[in-house]
Amino acid sequence: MPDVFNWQLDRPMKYQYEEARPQKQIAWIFDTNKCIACQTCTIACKSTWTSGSGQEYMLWNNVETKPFGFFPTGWDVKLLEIMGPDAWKDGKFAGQTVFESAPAAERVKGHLFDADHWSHPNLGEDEPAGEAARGTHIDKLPHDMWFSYLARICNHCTYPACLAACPRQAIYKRPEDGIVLVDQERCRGYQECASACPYKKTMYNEDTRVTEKCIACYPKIEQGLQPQCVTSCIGRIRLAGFISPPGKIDPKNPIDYLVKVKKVALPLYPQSGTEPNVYYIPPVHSKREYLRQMFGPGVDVAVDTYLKTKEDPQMLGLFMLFGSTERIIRQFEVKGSMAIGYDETGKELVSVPVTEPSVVREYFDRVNQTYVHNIT
Amino acid sequence: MATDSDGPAGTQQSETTAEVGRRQFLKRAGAAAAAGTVGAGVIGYAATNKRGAAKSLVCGYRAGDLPVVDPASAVWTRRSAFKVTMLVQNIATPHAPALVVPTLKVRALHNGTQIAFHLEWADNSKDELSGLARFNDAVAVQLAADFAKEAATGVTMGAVDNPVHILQWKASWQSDLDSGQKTSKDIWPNIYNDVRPEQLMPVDQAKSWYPGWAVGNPLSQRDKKSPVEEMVAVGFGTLTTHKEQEAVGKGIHDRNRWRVVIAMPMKGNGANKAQVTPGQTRQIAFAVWDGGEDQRGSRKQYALWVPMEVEAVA
Repeated sequence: MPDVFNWQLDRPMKYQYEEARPQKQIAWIFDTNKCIACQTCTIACKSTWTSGSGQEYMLWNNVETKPFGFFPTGWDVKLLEIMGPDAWKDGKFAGQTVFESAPAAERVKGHLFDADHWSHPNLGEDEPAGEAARGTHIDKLPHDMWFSYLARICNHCTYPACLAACPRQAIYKRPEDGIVLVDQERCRGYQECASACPYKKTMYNEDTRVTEKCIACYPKIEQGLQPQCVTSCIGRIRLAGFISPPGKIDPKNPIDYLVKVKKVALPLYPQSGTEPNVYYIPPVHSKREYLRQMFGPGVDVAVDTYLKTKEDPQMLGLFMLFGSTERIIRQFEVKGSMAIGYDETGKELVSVPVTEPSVVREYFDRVNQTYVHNIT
Repeated sequence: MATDSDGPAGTQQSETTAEVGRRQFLKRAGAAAAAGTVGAGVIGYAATNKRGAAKSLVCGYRAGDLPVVDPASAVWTRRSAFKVTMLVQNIATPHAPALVVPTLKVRALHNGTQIAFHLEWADNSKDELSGLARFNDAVAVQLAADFAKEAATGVTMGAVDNPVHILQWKASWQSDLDSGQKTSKDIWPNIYNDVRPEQLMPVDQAKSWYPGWAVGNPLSQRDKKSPVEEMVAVGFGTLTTHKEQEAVGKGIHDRNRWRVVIAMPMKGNGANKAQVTPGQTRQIAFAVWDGGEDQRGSRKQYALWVPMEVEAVA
């Protein structure tokens, strides 16, 4: 197997094919701290792409509760089980990826879930990590009692395990934007991809007998628009754009700024070795050990940086641009009290105030002689 | 795990054993494989074979229509079978962990215009639905597309300059033809579909909800005319459905075995189809999948080339 460079592991690794980075690599930032698991993204995706027969169980986008929620059931527990304990040394991954640990008969170390695992998308929803005793107060970070929401789509990995596993090259990564697609004409339903994907995001259609997956809403991407799951998000937790290749940083590119400059957004289970391209801002109230297990050794820096957002007008301004336009923001800047997003030609797409105007209401309503509760 | 079984009781069969050399090869390949093959060979040899091992498969000439959709026909069962030793595909990844179909019994006939293969193997479970983590049984025959290049054509599904013609019978397609197109509703009888797109609009429009069907993937089509798919390959991973589908066939599962007939015109239409002429001796290879053992694609049993004598037209 050829050697390729995986910047998330900070080392070369074995992969089925030679390194061939796309001209542009699609990437997302998901701010888990703002997600309320309303599933608007899930429904936007579902109603756009998977409302047909044979697709009933498919959720190309799903939002699960951590630590006890999963879709499919137990996917990350199983991944950690087959990968073994974390092995990071000074920011470098010292363990084996799913490619490097593959048995002789396989291309990827994987496993195939049966239908039971796909049948309980809301299992564990809103379940906290432990039981709260009477009188418990949640008064510090990280919380003693915690859970968080994890929104998930296909990671459109730089080194997709699905692509590596397909014995007939029916899965391809588009050179123009890095989107990973299953050729619906060429797929023969072997489900090798479903076995290989560490994130379990390829899904077999029992009516067409071939496998389908998230297509990153490529018809929208081709028009410079962000995907449905991003633009429908009422919490404005998501941003889609393009990440620069390793060794290159464009601080005006919103994705580069958060991933590479501020290092506040991290890949999910990077030890898989696939170089996933959805970058998560970790939930700051969750237990650090758990976060390190999920997002790798960059967690402490990411959380500490995020907690200082209000001292950083640049980052705060960028967060305000999340969900502010349907178009893909290629460049951004913060000028005075305004954050501005630009397209690839430098044309202004949107400008938003860094600090939204706010009004503090009296907590006692004198007219109605009652106390007013803050419901936000 | 499939076990070897002989043909119907009462029929006089002359079983041929696998070549000794191949048996030795298998012994080296794996203990499980060797055990299955040697066991089968001993049973066949001791019970019926008095004439020694046949070195080639004889494709007999028979005038008139061949029983291409009747694997149980006496025309087939009274004919002696050639035993083909199957090997677990372990050349290309991924591969199956173990050999589960050690032997394939092959009979072949032609009538001057059509050639038919009768393939029989032991399989305790009838796996005819393909679903989530669920796979169907199948069998395939392979011939070099170009007879002139046959000697240079690899058994590993050919090569760029040496394409192979593959005919694959699938239990799933047989089930569709026998009792209607199978859907998720057949796999999960209690599944709830509020409405299927084709119930709301003409099929041409409803296809948009079925991507594979809409783009013409042969696996997604619902108007099947045959359980056999004709394909071309130029190496592992290159299997491509042929534009001209002319093969016919039928498979039946009873008494813990599959019996399948695959038939094709001896002069098929379109490029890269094996043209078979009476009087020729040509190489043929086989592959078998046990869906119940999660076999599909490259996870299969295959056979090395077997010489097939195609009888002259009498």
